[in-house]
Amino acid sequence: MKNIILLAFLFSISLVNAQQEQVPQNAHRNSYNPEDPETVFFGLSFYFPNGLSDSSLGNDYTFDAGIQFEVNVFITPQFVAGVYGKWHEGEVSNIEKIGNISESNFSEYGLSLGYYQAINREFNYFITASIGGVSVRNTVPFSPDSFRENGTSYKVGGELGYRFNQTIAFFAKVSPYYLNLDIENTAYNDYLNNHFLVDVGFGLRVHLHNPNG
Amino acid sequence: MRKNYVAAIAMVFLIQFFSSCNSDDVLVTENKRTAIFATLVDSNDVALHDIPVNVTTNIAEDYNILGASISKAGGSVDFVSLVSYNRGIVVNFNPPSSSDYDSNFMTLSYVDQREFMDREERIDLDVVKLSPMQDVNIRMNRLPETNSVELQLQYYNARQLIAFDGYADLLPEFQNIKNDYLRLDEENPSFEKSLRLPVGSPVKIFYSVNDGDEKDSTIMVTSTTSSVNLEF
Repeated sequence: MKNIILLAFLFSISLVNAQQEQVPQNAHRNSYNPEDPETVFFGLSFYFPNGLSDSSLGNDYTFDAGIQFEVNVFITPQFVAGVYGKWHEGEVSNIEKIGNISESNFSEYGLSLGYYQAINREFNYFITASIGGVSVRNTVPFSPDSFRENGTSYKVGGELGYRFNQTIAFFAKVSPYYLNLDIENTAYNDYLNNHFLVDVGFGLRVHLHNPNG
Repeated sequence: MRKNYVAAIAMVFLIQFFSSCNSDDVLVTENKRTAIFATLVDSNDVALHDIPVNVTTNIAEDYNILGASISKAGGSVDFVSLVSYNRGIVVNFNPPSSSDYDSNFMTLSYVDQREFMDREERIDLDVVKLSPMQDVNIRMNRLPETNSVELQLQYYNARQLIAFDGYADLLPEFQNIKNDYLRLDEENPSFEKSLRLPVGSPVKIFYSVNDGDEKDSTIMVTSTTSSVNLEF
């Protein structure tokens, strides 16, 4: 009996040792494959902008779906730094409080810091804080020359991702943000310049790795 | 051969550059809006609502609409307009080009034809009065004992222009008044004309009978003036 117990003990120790050899000491749970640490992921998403505030972007526009491209680099296994660009159009539904603009093209380029956490092997969430420069190209019906206005976007975002495999993931996202434009008009300063919006969207991520990192 | 290509490309760029310099396109001022405020009433100080208001670039450019609205309850006008730095600004109350134009009232335009970049952010026009329009039939006859009459009929247009404060000298006054010249004699013993005139506006008749001294007479249009019959 003692021999059997001793044999079982030695077997269990060897099994634990074998497992420890398979999993690198520095592997983080965020890594889909423990041997290949996450290094960078690219995101391409479609989003639907919605105005939340009593402002020109909230009241006087109907927005088309937009597209966003982002690149995020892991600076630690959990924290991510990234850059992004996003583009969408909006048609003016009421010119009374903004002037005779027929449509506006919104483009935004910014930097983000994020926290990435794997819930399990498939699901993960990604929280970001971003700041971006916004350029609005307005089209006037009777003037062939559009004119531009600028602003700054302050944004937080939450994404819930599902990884199909080590490389490809699907995600849904919600991204509320404050957009401050710089239009000069004292009487309508808040209405023209201070906007709260939210982007709701979905997209695909491509995760790249550092093999045997 | 290479030099020819470079010269041709340079020429294209130069033509493009100079044509853009001479372009007459309306150029909208970036990062700038003007807010328009007024209270719209008729000649009896009764508030007018649902009257269209817009902002255009020049007197004769009704199609260049920079902003537009409709008067609200209490005659309140409160809207935002783009501004252009290579055009003036005209605030039109009840413009005929609007789909909401009310033909029962005159058109009143506040005009500033200056072109400059830093236009004011707020234009407050306080109380704006729109006179109702009145159909008036004017008939003039030559008396049998009169040989001839030289007539000048002077009346107000349905659209009146007002200069913004301090810039009246930039506004040609004659644009508010129309003159008809005619002669009554054996061949044309009578004259008849139907006009739509602002209530409260004068109709001046300058006349000279049998080549004599010029005299004048003035008729004020009221809401009950429907016909004017004059004999000379």
